[in-house]
Order: sequence, then structure tokens, then C-alpha cells
Amino acid sequence: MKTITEPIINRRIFFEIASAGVAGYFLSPLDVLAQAGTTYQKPAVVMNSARYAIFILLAGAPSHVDTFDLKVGPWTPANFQPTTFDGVDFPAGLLPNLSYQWGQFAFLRSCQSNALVHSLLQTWNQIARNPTTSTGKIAPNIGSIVALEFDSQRRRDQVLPGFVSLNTGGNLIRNGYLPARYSPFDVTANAGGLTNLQHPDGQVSFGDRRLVVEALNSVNPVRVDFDEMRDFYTSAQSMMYDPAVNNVFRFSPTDQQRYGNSGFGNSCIVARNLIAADLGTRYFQINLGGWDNHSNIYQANAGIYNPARQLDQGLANLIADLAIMPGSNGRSQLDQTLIVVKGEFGRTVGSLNGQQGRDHYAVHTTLFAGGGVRGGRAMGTTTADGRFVDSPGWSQERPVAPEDIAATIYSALGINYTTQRRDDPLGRGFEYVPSTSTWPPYPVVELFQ
Amino acid sequence: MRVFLVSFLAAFASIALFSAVHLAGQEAGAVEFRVPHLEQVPEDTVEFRSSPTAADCNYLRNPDEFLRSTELHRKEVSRWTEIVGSQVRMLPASGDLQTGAAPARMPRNNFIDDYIFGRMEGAGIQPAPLASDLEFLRRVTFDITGRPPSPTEIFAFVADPNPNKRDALVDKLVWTFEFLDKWTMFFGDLYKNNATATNVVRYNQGRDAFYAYIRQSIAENKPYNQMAQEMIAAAGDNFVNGAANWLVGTTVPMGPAQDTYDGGAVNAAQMFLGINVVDCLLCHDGARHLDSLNLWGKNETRANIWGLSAFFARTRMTRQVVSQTPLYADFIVSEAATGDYILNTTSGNRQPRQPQGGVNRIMPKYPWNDQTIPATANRLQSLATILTSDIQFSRATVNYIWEKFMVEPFVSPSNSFDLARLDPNNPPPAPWMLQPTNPELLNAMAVWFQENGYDLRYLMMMIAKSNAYQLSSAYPGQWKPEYVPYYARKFVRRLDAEEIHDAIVKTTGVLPSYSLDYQGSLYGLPSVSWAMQFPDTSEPRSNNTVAQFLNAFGRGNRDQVMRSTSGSVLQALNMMNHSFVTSRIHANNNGSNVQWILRYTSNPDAIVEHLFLSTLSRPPTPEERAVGAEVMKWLGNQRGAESMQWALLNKLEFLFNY
Repeated sequence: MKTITEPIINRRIFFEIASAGVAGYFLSPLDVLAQAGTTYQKPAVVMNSARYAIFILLAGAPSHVDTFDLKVGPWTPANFQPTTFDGVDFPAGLLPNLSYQWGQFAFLRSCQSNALVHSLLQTWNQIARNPTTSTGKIAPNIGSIVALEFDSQRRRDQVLPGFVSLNTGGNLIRNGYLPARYSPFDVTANAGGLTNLQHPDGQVSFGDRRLVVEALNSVNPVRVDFDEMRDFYTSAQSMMYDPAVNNVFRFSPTDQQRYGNSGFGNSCIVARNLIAADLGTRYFQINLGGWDNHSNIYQANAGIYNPARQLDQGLANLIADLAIMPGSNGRSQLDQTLIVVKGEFGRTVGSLNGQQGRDHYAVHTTLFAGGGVRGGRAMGTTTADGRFVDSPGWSQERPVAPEDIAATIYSALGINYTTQRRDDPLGRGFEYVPSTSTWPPYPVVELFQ
Repeated sequence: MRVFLVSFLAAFASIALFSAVHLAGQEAGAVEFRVPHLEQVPEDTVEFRSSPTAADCNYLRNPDEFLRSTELHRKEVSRWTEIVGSQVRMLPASGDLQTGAAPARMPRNNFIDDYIFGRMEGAGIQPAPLASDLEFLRRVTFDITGRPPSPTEIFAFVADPNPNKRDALVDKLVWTFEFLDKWTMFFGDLYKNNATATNVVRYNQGRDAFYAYIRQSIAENKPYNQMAQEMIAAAGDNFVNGAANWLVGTTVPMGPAQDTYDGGAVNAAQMFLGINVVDCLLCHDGARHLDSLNLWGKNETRANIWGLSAFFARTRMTRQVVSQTPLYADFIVSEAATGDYILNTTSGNRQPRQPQGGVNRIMPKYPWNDQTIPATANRLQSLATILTSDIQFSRATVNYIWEKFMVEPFVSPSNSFDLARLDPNNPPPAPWMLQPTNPELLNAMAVWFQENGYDLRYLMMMIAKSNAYQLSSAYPGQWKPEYVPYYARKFVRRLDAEEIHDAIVKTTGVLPSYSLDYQGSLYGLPSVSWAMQFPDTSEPRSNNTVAQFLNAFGRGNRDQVMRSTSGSVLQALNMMNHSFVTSRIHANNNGSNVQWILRYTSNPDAIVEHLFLSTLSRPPTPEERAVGAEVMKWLGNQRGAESMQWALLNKLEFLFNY
């Protein structure tokens, strides 16, 4: 069969078509589907190097040539302070705190999306497949599958859900066809703690009212042995007024300031706390929007500077804090937490567009840190202008797709990403990361070597 | 469409929860699923196995597994009904719960009863007794209008001596404004009306226009075939002509135009004919793929289904930007004079389409009766006529509506019709079985619906007036999941997110006000107080905490996220602690139910009784009265009333319709 070193149509033509316009529908040469029945998976590689995973979705798609795949040109603002760390160009002025943490990150620069539509690709990245396919319609978030896989490992004191989402607005994919038990537990990070973990009328009132409910229920005995909904009430009540649970969602004003005093920053603090407390949560999704800079991308205190500042302060401090928190077996919490930072695609390269901004573009970079990743380097390269993937930089010798990112996350967490479940409502079989005949998904194991 | 996977999903939801199918083993292609070591593993867990070699098609599944899944689904429906039904303390109408009428003696209100009780009689299955007035009133009010009855309505109905009061109630409810709200929401779900979707953006303007169109159509009781025709053959600006938004929704991006023509075929087949395998068949023939899923589909070919897509091959949806900042773009929908479904694609969302047997373009041909059209005929209008005359259109619609009332549809999931397994006079070969729970009744109702002008209200009235619908959810004797297809009792369903919100509002008497974003819209929508009035399931965008409350109850987004009724910790936390609930129980919240009753009387028993009636639509049982009296004595009238109101909202039965 055809090996994928040459795309099916000439790269240049492909990207010329692709770089058109804001919405950017276009033919997708990498998306040729299989002849029926010839899908295959390579034997799974399961690395099991991390206990937790944090997926940071940079919603809106950050410009890769201004951030993690810096390409300096006449357009580059001086305050970006382009610096080269060990061969890796980085905008130290735009992301100063992250530049101090530079050594923690591996920059995977050969990522590529198959379309340029925000919601389509945001969904794609969360479910590890094309959302318009039939299993795409029922697919759970990667986090829900992680919660399902780790469900049997839960201890009795671990009262929090396996999958927590923070700062996610509209496009958070939930549990798909899996039970609600594995749906993301949405948290709005707040210094005062989680709001509906406390009864607004006070703990005394709650105690009284709880007694009333129980008294009423006791005179109406339920005739079956278990009661799913009542289990949820019991779990919910055990989370409330539990000092361990309450404290984990609270943070100090000092921390809030240090992390950048933003919704994203607060979310990073809560994620840190949840990891330290080990109360059952193993997968986090944190969204950070504001990257869709079609116009005025370099405008002071706006454009890319806004989301960049939030990312910089939140993520850098999260990494720093996790690095000094002890984990198990002599590792730090950062050693056992895989952090993945990516947008849904990249942005146009070179000179700015007519509105002083950048439009959608397929090539982009994913950051990896922690969880066994060896940082301080870039993997994969793009051409000098950032337009094309030049060398993919990994074993499969093709651009990295969202499916491969998902395979990497699962593999790091010790989950077999080729697993196929047979309990889906469509009766088609549900693979954690689906295969096609063009290429099977594969984890980027080079990140960990 | 998603809504109809709910009942099916509930099966797997609970299976996965209680059996937690778990992976063991590390090799791809040789994966074994094992049930973990939980104490509470039910004995009906199924062991799933993947194919031993990678070359086996991923999508085959043997009929045994398929049949077992139906069996498991019925167990789930039964389990939920038992849980909630056992909590219900409304004495059934025909007296003692221990006996019920034999099916032969059950009075027949209309032809639905003939088929339902006739079948039970034939199988020797005992039906539940008829529901009491209280049980019936709450149930039918929720099912028809999406809200509970008020204490006044309860008193009036129970006291009414008219022997035909149940029929009169149904007649009244289908003409209320609340009915409009609920069924506009239902069809909005079915047609997936929203402002932003993965595949296309309608903006608020398109969404509101579509919402207004649906609402107006239902208000004037438009025949449903006419409604479908208007949507399939719509033209014009989707911001102005609401019906045109249905076609806009068929858009499939990042591919050739044929992908969107296929999108039209998929949506027409799913939403109007209940046939979901058309989506599969547009990528490949049924053979080797649908062999165990759909008997009709397994013998179908991709080329034949293309005939359906070809009806959409002249549909043009021209996007034009009407405003730059903020960005709004509408679609001008039309049918071009020329254009064909050409077999010349090699990329996009579906398998390549290449000439076959010398044929490189496909002419419109309705796959279910091979009907073709003249070359000059308008394709969309032709399809509209042909499709709505198809008995399957009537069947699918009847099934969708039946599901909303009877909880268990004839065909489950309700968009998975298998046309080769519907005719009792022509049953499929073993091991296949007839698909519908009651094939004779489904066909009879489909014909009836056709002959009665596709009148949706009339259809709902027929269902609600049947005694089959009016059976109690409490069952005498031992219930078996095999009884589910006989509808031998009323099945329980969890209320939709919007119904829960609106029930809390109506019960507590504190009306919210949500403004809807409609800037620039021609059909600007005013502020609303009821969740059932939202034009899509992302509102109220002006009030994020309430939106989160609603999302926690699984209303989905009419796109990738399905509507679901499974429970969660967040739902429990919300009912106990969310300000939407807790602010409404306070005596000092002006207009609240608690305030009203405290001012009306200081008699603790009367207070307790009123709270039961307004929250659970029934009076307290003697045991509950005793508990209530203790609570009022302990906490005093005000704190007692507030606590009772909160407690009743947090009783399991509040969230369910039974």
C-alpha cells in the first residue's frame, strides 16, 4: 500500500487552497477514507509514565509562528524579544514566565489539522476522531474514557469525579454515550471554593433539611436493592462539607495573583490542588480562548497579548508548583502529570492580512511537559516560513494528527488506545482512537525518550 | 434525533455503570473485556469480545448480541419503573393494587386499546390497573404541556364528576400555550435547530426564524406532511424564511458538494423516515457491514441510495455576509435549473465516488419505491411529495410521538427502522424477529395518521385517551422485563432538563426572566420565563448559572452532544445547593409558594399538604403527614415550610414522570 511520505496532492497547492479565508472549507487530501474492512491498528505502545493528564485547549487557534514555532520577520514586534534557547526560537518577551520554564517543554512542531473550522476541530481534538463520522456523533471526551478506565482504581476516600473540566465555555465535549458518571465535572475556579458544594442557607439548614428528606424517604421504602439516583445524592452529600474537598477548591489571593488573576490561572491552581489531594480526579481539561486573531494581532493589551499573558502566568506557575510537589516513588507531581497544550490549528504565516491579523491555517505546534516527557527541545520542523511540515520528527514520518496526540495521552496514562468497546449504541464498535487505512494512529513516543 | 437515542442509551448507561465493562490485556486486536470485581454486579452482564484478528470488519455484530441488547434495554426500563413506581403512593383507580383487570375486561377507549390489550390477552399477561385521577393528571400534564398541574388544577380535576373528564382534560391541554412551547422544543430537537453547529452556522437570526416557523406551524395545527414538504422544498433567505433552515442544516463542510447532497439524504431519512442506516449506505453497500444490524440495509447498495441524494443535487445554498462586525451570514436557498449527482469525487467526508458500469451521474430515484421524476421536474418539491406520501413517513412520525408518551417506542432506537422487519404478514427469516413491539398497531396507527390529515394534536389525543396510556406505573404481582413490549404498565421517564426547570418555577411560584440575544433578527424573541421557550439548548446565554443548571440535566446541544437522562453527582448537587432552587424556597422571596401558604394559613398540616400538592402533585400519605407534622413542630412554621419545600424538591419522584 501507499506509504505516506508524499501527500496525495502537491503540498503547495493544498496549502494555497487551505490558506484562503476565515472559514476555510477545503478539500482534505489526508482524509481519504478506507475501502470497507481494511482498517488496521499497529500493535499498541503503552508507556504508562503518567498518573494524571492535563489537556489545555487553546480555543481559537493561536498563531504558531508567533508562539511555539517562532518565525521572525519584519512583522515581529520588538517586544516579542525573540530568543534562542539551545536552538529553539522562542518569544521570551511575549511569554516571559514560560521562557524560564523552557526546559520543561517539548515543542512538537509538525502537527497538522485536516480542516480549519473552529468547532469541528475543537471537537475533533477532544474525541480523537472526525466529528462527522458516525462514531463521532456518540464519542466521549478523552477525559471520560480516562475516567472510565481508572474507575476501578478508585479508593473509598476518592470522592471527586475522574474527569474535571475548568474554564470551559461552549465547546466542551462531554461523556458521549458513556454513563453520566464519566462526564466532566464542570468547575468554575473561584477563590472561595466550589459554590454548589455548600448549601446557600448554611450547613445547619442543610443538616436539618437532609433529615427531612431522609425521614420522608424512609416511609416510602424503595423496593429494589440499589438506586442509582440516590447513589448520586449520597456521593454529592459526602463531597459537601468535607474539609478535604472544600480546601481543594480554595486558594489564596497570593496564589491567584501569582497565577495571573484570570479564569485560566485560577483553573490551573485548582488543577494543581486536585492533583496534590488525589481525591479521584485523573484527567483535566482547561480551555483558554481568545486566540482567534483575525485582526490586530499585535495590538497592545489586546490581540495575542491578552491570551498569551494568561497562558504565560498560569501555565508557568502550574509547572513550577507541580515540579516541587512530591509525587510517588521519589518523582515530583510534574513527573507524573502529562501536560498537553494545543490549539485546534495554526494561523497564516508571513505578513499579516488586510486586517493586521492572521487567518486559519492547518500547521501548528503542540507543547508537552511532565509525565515523563523530556523537555528542552523542539521535535519536527516546519519550513523557514512555517508553511509546511518539513521533517515530521517521529517514527510515523507524517504530520501529527489529533488522533496521535490522543494516542500519546492514553499511552502515557497506561491505557491501550487501540481498545475497541462493543457497548456503543450504534453497534459499530467504538475504538478509543480510530484507525483508517491511510495510517494508524500512534503515540509520539520520541517525546519520552 | 439525539433525543430518541435516550431510551436506548439508558440501557447502556446503566449497564456500563453497574457492570463497568473493563479492559484487561495489552495487545491490539486481541483485547478481552472483563467485568471487574464489584460486589453489585448484576447477573445479566454481558461479556463483550473484540474480533480475534485485525482483518475482521469492526462493524459486524451477531444477532444474539443485538437481541440481548434489546433484552437489557427492557430490563433497564423495568428497573427504573420499579424504582420510581414503588415510591408512588397514588392509589390506582380500579382499587386494590393487588389485582388489576384482566386484559379482556379492560375497557377499550379506542383502537389503540384493542391492539394493546388484545395482544396482552393473547399472551396471558396481566396489565397494571388504571392510574388514579391524581396519577393520570400529573402524567398527562407533563407529557402534553411539559409542566406539572397546580393545586387548583388538581382540586378541580379530582372533584369533577364528569365521567369523561379525562378526555376533556386531554382536549383542553393540547390547545394550551404550554403545549406549543413543549412541542416546538421537541421539533427543534428533531431538526437540530441551533445557532452554531459543527457543520454550519445559522446565527441567532436563522435559529430564531426556524424556531418561529416551527412554533407557528404547530400553533395553526398544520398537517405534518405539509410541514415536512415546506422544509424539504424550502427556498429563500434562511434569516427570513424559517423553513429554509432545515436544508441549511444538511450542509456538510470540508468536502465536495456531493457530501452536502448526501447530508440532505441522511437528514431526510433520519428525521422524516426514521432510517439511520442511510448514513452508513452512503459510504458503502450494506453487504458485509449491516449484515447483523439491519436486514433491509444489508441488501441495499450505495448506488441505490444515491438516488435519494440526487434529489438534493440542484439545491444551492449561497452564503452571503450581511454584516461584518458583528459577523452575520445568511444562506439563500434555491434549486438551480441544472445540476446532477456526478460520480467524480476522490476526497472529502465519504468514500470516493467513481463511475460504475459506465454510469457517471445518478438520477433522482426514491429508493423505497424506485420512483423517478421527469427531467424538468423540481427535485426538492418532487421529493417532498414522494417522501411524505410514503407510509414510512407516517410510521416514523407515529413512532416518535408514541415514544414521548409511552416511553418505550415501537421501534427502538426510534431512528433505526428496519424496513424488512415491520410486516407481521411477512415476517423476516430466523434468527431475525419482527422489529416493532406491536407491529400491527404501528401499521394501523400509521395508516390512521395518513387518513386523518397527519394531525399531530389528534394523534397525541388518541394516545393520551387510550387506556393503554392510562395504566398505572405501579404493577400488581411480579413484573418481568419481557412484559415491556406489551405495555402492561406505564413506564417511568426522567423529566427533561427544561421540564425540571419549569416544574421548579411553577411549583415555587418565582418566575425568572431571561433575555435572549436576537440582535438583528427579524424574528426577535422577547424575554422568557420558561426554559421550554428557549429557541435552542444553549440559552439562556444571558444567565450562565442557569444555563449550567440546565446542562447538568443533559439537554445536549442539538449537535454532537446528545440529550440524555442519566443521572450525575452534579444533578444532585444542583438540586440541593444551586441558587436557582434554594432561592425559591424562601418565605421572604416575594411571590414564592412558601410565602403564599404561610400567609394563607398557619395550620401546619394544611401547609404540609399544600406543599405536597404543589410540588409532587399529590397529597401526603398518612405516614408522610406524620413526618410533616413532626417537622413543623420541630422547626416551626416558617423554617418547617422552607425545609419541607426543599425536601420535596429533592425527593426522587419530583424528577420523574410516572
